[in-house]
Amino acid sequence: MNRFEVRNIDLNKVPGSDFIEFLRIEIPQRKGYAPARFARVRYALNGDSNEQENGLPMDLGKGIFTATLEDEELGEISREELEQTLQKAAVEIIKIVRKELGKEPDILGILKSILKDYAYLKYDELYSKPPDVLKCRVINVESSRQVEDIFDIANRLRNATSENYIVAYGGSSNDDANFDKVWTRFSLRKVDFRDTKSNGA
Amino acid sequence: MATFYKGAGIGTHWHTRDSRRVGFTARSPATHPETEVLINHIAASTVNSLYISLTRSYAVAWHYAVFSSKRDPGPGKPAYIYEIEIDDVLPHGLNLLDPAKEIVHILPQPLRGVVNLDYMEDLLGGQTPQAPNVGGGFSPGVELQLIALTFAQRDAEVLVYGYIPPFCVKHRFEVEFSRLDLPLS
Repeated sequence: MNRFEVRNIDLNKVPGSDFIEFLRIEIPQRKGYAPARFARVRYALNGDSNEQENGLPMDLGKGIFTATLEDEELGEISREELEQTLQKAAVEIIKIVRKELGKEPDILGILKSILKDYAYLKYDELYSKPPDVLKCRVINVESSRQVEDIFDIANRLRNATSENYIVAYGGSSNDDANFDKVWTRFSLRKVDFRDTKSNGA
Repeated sequence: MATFYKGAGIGTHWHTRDSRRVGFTARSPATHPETEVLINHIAASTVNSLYISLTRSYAVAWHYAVFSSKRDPGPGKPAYIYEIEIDDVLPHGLNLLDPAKEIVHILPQPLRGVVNLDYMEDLLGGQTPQAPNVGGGFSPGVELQLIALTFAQRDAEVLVYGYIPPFCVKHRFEVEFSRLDLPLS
């Protein structure tokens, strides 16, 4: 199962030059997790619309290219001109990437993607109130499960959405049962700690 | 003895040069070391720098090797991770610098200890929202210092000023990447 995907963002609005045209940026992302901190910019050279085989890696956190073109790729452009073009382009690329990545995350879509790794669980459409309250339940009560699974799901959702969640789980069991293994439902309630600071900040 | 790592992506400087034979040199070793230069090296990854970046983390080096490659490293064309061992008694001409120590001592007093790594862990590991008012907040100088401090922590970064001789380079690991095996963060 391929649990890894590459998010492509179009860069046709990024100013290049007659020499280099920036086409798109590939951002690797493990499904259900935050995007990687590195990405690769695809480009074309010398007015040729064909994408080059190599890409130029970027550090998305620092907002810079971490490699440059080889001398034999330069043609008539000087190294200095290229670096200036790359520096200007990096600023614009980061603006576009942050805007795209900053869009409201599809919390429900992300949760459903995460749940694919837990075949015994199902998103509870009836009792959930997305995106603030997300509920899930066990499909087959005979299935083996651990309470740690719930917290793993909550952590992955938090990493992917940058939102915090309060976890609650429940179900019915007899006195001898280990409740951490016989729970049948859980809820993730979104919470914004910024609203509850006591120091007035 | 301390162990450090350096990732070398395909098509980058230290991928085409075998440091087991030539060691590591900075791109502009003759420049005079200053904290401002060090901050620029970390925050903006200045190419022509007098410092060499290493990391204490194999995982960080792996990310640099794989994702700073110009193409996915695969069979027959791997990226590299260098393993470097530096003795407590430093080789002649080699200086090790902890960026946090170098930067913190020039920060204004109230900002010391502002970074709580436990609390900030998931923010440091992912994309963080950017303030819309880029002109506000700290002064540009302090902001750059904090940015450098944050990235140095992100990458478990240690800087070398000077020359790392080949005998310190103990291994060069070859790393390949399949889109199926991105490690869980």
